[in-house]
Amino acid sequence: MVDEKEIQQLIKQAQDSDKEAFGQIYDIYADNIYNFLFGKLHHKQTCEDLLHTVFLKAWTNLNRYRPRKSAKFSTWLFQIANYTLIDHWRVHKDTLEIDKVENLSQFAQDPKAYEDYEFLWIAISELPIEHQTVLDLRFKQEMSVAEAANIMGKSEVAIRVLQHRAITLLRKKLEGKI
Amino acid sequence: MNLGIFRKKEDEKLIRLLKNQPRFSYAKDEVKFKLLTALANKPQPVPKYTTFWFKMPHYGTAFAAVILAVGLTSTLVYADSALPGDKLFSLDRAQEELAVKIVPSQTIKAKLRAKHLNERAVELEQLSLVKNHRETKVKAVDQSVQGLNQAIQSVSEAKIRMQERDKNSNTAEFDKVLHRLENLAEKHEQHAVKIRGEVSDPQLQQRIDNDLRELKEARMRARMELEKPELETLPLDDSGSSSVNQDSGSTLP
Repeated sequence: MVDEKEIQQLIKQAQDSDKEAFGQIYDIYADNIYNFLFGKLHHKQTCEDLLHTVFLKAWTNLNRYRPRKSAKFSTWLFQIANYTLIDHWRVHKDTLEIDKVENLSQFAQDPKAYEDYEFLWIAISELPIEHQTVLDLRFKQEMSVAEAANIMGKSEVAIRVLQHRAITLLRKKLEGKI
Repeated sequence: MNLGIFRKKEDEKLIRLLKNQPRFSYAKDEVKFKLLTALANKPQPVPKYTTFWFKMPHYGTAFAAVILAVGLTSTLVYADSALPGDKLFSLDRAQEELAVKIVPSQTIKAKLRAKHLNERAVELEQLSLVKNHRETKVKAVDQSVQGLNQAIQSVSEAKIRMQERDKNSNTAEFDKVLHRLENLAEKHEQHAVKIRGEVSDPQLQQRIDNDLRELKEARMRARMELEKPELETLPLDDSGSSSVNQDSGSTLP
């Protein structure tokens, strides 16, 4: 994992229009952002396009980014990713079909592990988008409550409530109760 | 109820599952390549569009000419960031040609052509930062040569037409653009040489060699246009009328 100081150095260079530095920033964060998007949309081409959009927006608005102790650069980037995802979701309102999830094993880095998780992803895909997002940010991306709150534009209390509801709903789905 | 602590064992197992989810593969390098090329056309920060837009009268060509004249970016954002060789790249180039066509002023047309060629040079520079994609790079060099030749020809013709209409006309703006085109040809040449160094396929090398030759010729043409004397006028005869030397400077090399 790259040190936060090194990242801030790269950001400063990128803010001076250093495209190579921005390319390095892309290399650091692209995997997490892509998996964040893919976890919701489950469509490789769409997620690659949105990944491109997210980083393009980040470049365009880079001069507006100011480092804060309470928010790392990743928080700012995930904020962009989240809003991009919401915009896309509003326009396309994709209803995920179960067979789409089953066919995704070809894109898994570890197809064997995918088989073990298929049931989980099917259940997650049936949750409301906000529930999916909070579960992704808090557990898969391992962000703090404060960071998740910043990204989703909610209070920390709201995040905790949402997280609790998401876990409960997911558990009930897996148990076949709903 | 303390929402921060999960008392149920099932929840703890579920959270462990969520944390250990496997990740998915994607075309990371391709997206990066596309992104770096698009960055060439993206200034930082995005220019803010003010109420200036809404105060301008909305009639066709004049409005479009004002937009183009102040150098605002195209409305077709996706086409604008297209790669050389992409379907959208042709759309982007068609869009640039349309922009040049609808602008009424010859001076602004010339400046637009130079601006587009500058974008080609930046794209070539960006392409040279990324590994592989040799075919795309060679195509980009081909495109830049075509664009340069077209630009130098049209600017030269526009300059001559203006001189023929009015011998006292000031063609300094055209000369500025020609000078810029000459410099751009040199930049394109440098990038083409760099790309040639990466290419081992003899056919691709031949293509780039042809392009390099054309780039040198384009530079020479621009230089010749700049050094060409103004249309000569014969001295006034006794009747007080003058005549223009029809043979001087009226044909392109």
